[in-house]
Amino acid sequence: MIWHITKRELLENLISLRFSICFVLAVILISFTTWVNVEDYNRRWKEYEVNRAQAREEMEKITTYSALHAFLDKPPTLLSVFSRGFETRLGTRIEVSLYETPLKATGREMDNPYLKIFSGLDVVEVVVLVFGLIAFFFTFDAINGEKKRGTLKSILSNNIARWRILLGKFSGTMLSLAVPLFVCFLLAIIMILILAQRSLTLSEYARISLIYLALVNYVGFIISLGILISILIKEPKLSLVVCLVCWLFLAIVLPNVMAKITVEFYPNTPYLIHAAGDNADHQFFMWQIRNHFDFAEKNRGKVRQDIFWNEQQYGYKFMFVNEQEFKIFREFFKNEHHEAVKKDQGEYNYWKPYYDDLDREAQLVQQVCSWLPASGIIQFCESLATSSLVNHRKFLQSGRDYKDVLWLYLNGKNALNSLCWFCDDPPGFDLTQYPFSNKEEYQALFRDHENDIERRMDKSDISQYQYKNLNLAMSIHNGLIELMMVIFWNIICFALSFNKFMRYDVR
Amino acid sequence: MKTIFIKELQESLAGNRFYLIFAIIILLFAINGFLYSKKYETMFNEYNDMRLKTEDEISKSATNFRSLARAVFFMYLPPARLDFISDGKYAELPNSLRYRVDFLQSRSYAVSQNNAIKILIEIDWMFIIIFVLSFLGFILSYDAVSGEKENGTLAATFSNAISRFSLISGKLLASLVLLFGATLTGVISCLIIINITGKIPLQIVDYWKIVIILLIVACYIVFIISLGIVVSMLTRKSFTSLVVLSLIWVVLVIVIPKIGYLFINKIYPIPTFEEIQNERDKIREYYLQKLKNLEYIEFQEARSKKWFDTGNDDWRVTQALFNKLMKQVNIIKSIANISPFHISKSAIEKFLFTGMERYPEFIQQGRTYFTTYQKLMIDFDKSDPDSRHWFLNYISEKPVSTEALPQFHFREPGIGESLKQSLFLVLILFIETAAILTIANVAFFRADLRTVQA
Repeated sequence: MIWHITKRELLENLISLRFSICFVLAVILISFTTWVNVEDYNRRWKEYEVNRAQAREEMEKITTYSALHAFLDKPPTLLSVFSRGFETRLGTRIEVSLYETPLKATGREMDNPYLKIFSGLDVVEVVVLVFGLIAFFFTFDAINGEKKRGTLKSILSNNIARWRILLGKFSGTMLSLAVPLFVCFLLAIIMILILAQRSLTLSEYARISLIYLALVNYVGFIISLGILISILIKEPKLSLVVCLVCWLFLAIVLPNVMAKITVEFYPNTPYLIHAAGDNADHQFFMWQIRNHFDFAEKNRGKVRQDIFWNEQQYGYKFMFVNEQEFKIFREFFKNEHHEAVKKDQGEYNYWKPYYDDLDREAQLVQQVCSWLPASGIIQFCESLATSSLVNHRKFLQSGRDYKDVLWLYLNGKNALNSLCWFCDDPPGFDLTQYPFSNKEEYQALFRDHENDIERRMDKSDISQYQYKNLNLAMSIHNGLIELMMVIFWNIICFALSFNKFMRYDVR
Repeated sequence: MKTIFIKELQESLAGNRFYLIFAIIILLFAINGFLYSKKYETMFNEYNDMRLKTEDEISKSATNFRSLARAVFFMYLPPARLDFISDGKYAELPNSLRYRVDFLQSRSYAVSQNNAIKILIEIDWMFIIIFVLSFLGFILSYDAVSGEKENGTLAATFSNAISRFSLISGKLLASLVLLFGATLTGVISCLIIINITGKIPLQIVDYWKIVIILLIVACYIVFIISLGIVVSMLTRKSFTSLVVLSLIWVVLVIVIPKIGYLFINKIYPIPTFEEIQNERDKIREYYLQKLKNLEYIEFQEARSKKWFDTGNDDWRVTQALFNKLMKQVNIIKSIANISPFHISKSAIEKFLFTGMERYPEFIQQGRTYFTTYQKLMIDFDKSDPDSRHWFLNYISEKPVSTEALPQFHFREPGIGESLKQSLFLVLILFIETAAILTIANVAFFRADLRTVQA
């Protein structure tokens, strides 16, 4: 009997004008959104490859240990077509150097920063908005409409339990929405396969399937709520109005209001005030200058003053260092190293609580919003699409870990005690072979050596950075509470509908 | 018309629909009042702290002209008092300019910004008007004609001596009074909350601006209701009318304003980071080449000139890029203005000088201030006979009176200037409203008003 009611509901919905209009609108919106987002993905992928090539080139140029640094790039995720999440909001590049623990990722320089005031659309958002609206259109008169037309009484005059009617209506509406949603997803996948730079992996297909199921669950919640409203309100016209107001609040008003209230009442330190209190960098710079002057004064005549100031953005690169200079510099750089570590630690300790605070604020906003079905489902999909905040945190952590990898590599080479720490002379180099008669000659030799591939240190044994996304199980685990919340609301609405319908006056 | 107006008013007041709308509007305006009182306080305190810090730094450096000339200061953009009406995502935009005697640079980060928080829509008056009021307007007017056709009351009404124009005007006026009344109550409640909390120091001119905004909102409400009535006339059933209106709402309020953003890099691409960097490097290289092979005095004089020339050329590159970035923003906004719903938002944003309208003005005022500051500094150095005028190394070391130094204060444009800025968009809104009103009237004159089965 349930199947009969389901079939009737399904057919009624399929032949209705509202279904055709809504389905066409959903298909147009989803194909349009997919196309734009795939194009954006391709652009970001290109940007990522350019950045990677630059990072490799930069690594190639490093000739001394002290200058060791790396640019770590996070590849864009193809599933951001479904759920953009924080993919384009937060940075995708981390700069790792020996004396700077990364705390944040840098942004996309190619983008216009002023476009932050606008927002895009993704497939999940379109489904939450449009399919949510369609679900309400299909259910606002599910019970009161039948009652008004008198068909409810006729159905109940047969030997049929009330719960079967309710279940039949739920499953009928669900089917008439799940199938078009499936078609839309299929369309999105085909477009991705045709337009994207790369094809989908097996794991990504699994993730898309789970996103689909999660969205079906969300649509199920809206159907339950629509049925509940149609039971509680006698007049179909009023129930439609109430349904639409509910949709407006659930999909648009409440997620933004809740987030805004949380942000406004969360006590955090303003950035500029915090930045103004940070003078560790300046102090270290002043210390360095003083130290360099002291060094120059102390070692006057023992080292060449001109090469001592050959300091680069990352580390030092000296040439033509003799045995006496090496010994003096080694002691100096050991001292410099300890101070730089202290400075890095101080700066990290100063800024870490600030960034943690921002992170806590963002987490709180997400937790508050996860109670709302629309926000909850979007968060779950972000988690599956690996564009969530958790993924960004993992990326930052991988950057910090890579800094440790670099130090381990240097310690293994006893780099701080070696000449290669600050000098890129080839092994066995003897300065006395170069009798310079004037400055120009010296500079010419310097230029030749600059391009000398022989002088570059061997970096083939440094472990390469490779960003790995969270695996499927972890992604599900991270979004499980949000998914549970939507299932919870779905069950509550359905149980209430059941309870009310069992005592419903069908006259 | 008066009878129809009173009948419509009484009918709406007797039903639940209006009270639902009324409660939603009041609630949202009250939330807006509370939230923005808190937000403005936080932002203003932050701005004030930073401004005082800069003033303190200037007075400390002023004991010696050389250290003043070498010091880097900041100009800050204050938060707008009327941000609660149209926020324009102020917190997402840069809010300061960095300057020294030889350069002016814009900064890329903003006050209290947390990128890890994704708030798509700010809860300002614009949100309430564009998203909620329009939706509620449709709910109020979707069955204006189709509902009466279903009930059979429309045919009965016309059995009396009543013109079609009177009927439609009466309906429109009643809906306008109801919706505008609810909005006005919401606005008053919001202003009461703001005044009670006392965090936003509203001035008389702000109240005048609010009055003008309310006039624009009234026009906007007429547009929504007219659209509702037109759709209600063109559809046979009130349910279909509401479905169509909801879909129109989704397209005009949500989809169209996003189209420009999604396509902007195809419509108007901007130069890449590398291209900009190369241009800057070329400028530096050009001036470095000029300094080569000069004798000591010539070198010092040329280097002194180079400080300013590089700064100016660098600013030229920055400004050219800024103009391109702004053009992208303006294209997106223009595309969004295809939606009549968005036009009122753009008009009010322009009128209030908030959001993205405020920032270019800040840059312009900052540049004017910087030119004055630079001229004053050069003149001061020239007036010192002991100075060799070789910026920034061999210059005057005399103390500078801080009173002689100009202070940067962002000048809020006057009401006339704001009106002039937004006039074009307001006019378009008026024209669109007049057009939809005419369509509603013409359609109603030609409409088949026979009763239909619900």
